[in-house]
Amino acid sequence: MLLKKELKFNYKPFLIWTIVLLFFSAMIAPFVDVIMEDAASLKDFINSMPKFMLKLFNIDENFITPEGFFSAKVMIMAEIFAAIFAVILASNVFVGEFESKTIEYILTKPYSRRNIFMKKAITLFIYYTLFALIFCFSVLLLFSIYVHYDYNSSILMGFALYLYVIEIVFGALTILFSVIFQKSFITISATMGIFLIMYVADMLGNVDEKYEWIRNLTLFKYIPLGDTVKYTKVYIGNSILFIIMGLVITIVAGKIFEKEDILI
Amino acid sequence: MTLIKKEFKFNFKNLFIWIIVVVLFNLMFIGLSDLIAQENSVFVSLLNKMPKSFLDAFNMDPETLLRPEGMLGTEGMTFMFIFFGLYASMLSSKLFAGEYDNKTIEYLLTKPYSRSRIFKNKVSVILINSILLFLIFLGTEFWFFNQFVDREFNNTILFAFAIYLLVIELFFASTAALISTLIQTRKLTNSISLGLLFFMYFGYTVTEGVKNTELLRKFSIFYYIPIRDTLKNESVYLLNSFIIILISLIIFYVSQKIFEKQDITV
Repeated sequence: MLLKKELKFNYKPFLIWTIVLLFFSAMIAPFVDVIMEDAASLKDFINSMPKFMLKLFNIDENFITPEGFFSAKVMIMAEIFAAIFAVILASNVFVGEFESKTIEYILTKPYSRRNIFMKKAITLFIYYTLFALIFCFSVLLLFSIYVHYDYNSSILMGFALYLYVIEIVFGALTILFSVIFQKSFITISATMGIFLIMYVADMLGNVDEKYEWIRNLTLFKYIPLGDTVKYTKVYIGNSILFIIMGLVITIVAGKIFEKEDILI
Repeated sequence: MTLIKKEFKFNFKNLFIWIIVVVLFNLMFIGLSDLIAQENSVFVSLLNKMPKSFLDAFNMDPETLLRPEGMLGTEGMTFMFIFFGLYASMLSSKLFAGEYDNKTIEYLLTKPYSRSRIFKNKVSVILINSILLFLIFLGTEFWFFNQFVDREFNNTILFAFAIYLLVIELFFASTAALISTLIQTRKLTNSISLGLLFFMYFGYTVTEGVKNTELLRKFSIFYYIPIRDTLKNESVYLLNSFIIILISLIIFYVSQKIFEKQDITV
């Protein structure tokens, strides 16, 4: 009953965000073939470059593939998009109750705090999973319709997995901050601040070996888009580890929620 | 004045977090600008040999990448546009839709202030916060450029980056205010205004170099404050910025008129 209610209350934001992401994937997919027409000459160009130069600039002919192009054109934006979607949805589901004072009403219902928390967390995970699955299937479908060059489906599925990891990790952080701060703006500000600093730190850590250590502190080092395309390898192990970490953060938030006093 | 002070105080923590993020961001990005540009110089000479369609598709522009402001403009501003838009939308929806959600709007309307005054005070808080964040960005941008960048850079371009962020803040704050007064729920206001932000940003950047998307790009405000052209032409799109700010003020005014006459959904 609670789960059904939560799902119903949050389907509109979910639909809006999913449609925007799909719209742009649909716009880009037909363009992949156009780019790939120049692929042969670009690969020749890359192969003509000295090997040390390729290593120095992290260039690889695998980037001149449909999935390489999709990664550069769509995935960076899609990651930011997925993070903001996850944060906004989690704050709607959790901290929204504190702000609108409906948490007091819910807590008078004959459900334990654990049960209420679990239902809310499950709602989020259902929407996050749906978002990643819809992205995965629609990209595969769009590629099968529009892309007539060889591409690696598992890499495309890997991209969807990375979006899922981002949703889970930043969604879990939002849940944790929600139960701590009980205010949505500060919860969203803190989580998005962490996301931005991590993203930029990862980018800058790539520039110079001297600063590479900074990447260890970011999630994006462990689910790298560039290396996934370059080595045609999806970092499934890392993804699972971060999903587990997200679940642990959620459990910790649940424990806090069970014992905390509600600020009135 | 009491209302403005109260609202400002209530939102100061968030402003403080965003100030820290913006300062850290500028420090990280500008601090490494020279280093990145040095590494880029050989790479850029290679990029010059690549087909134009390919460079467009991957949003690479050899000319702009070589400039000291190029890295912040091409990579950094992507994040700043999204995050300034996000901050402004969230602040506006909190100030307007938040009152409906929390039912505090009823209490506020019993106070001896006119509806127009309440609305104007809230808009003033948005303007103060937006301008403060803009000034922090501008100040730290100039400071860190003077501190860390040895090569000659163009102050006009740096000013352009900051003014574009102010434009984005005001535009998305005004649309969030309008949506708030129409929908009266924060959850949906956030989703629609942030959906619009992404739609416009995706619409402008992701479709760059993609055929038959020119019309879609024109619907985005980012089309009228183009970073790449600013870097190339070393000029600020001041008139466009001014027009967008004017449109934002008109949207605020329309929202105020709706707010003054609407019945509050209880």
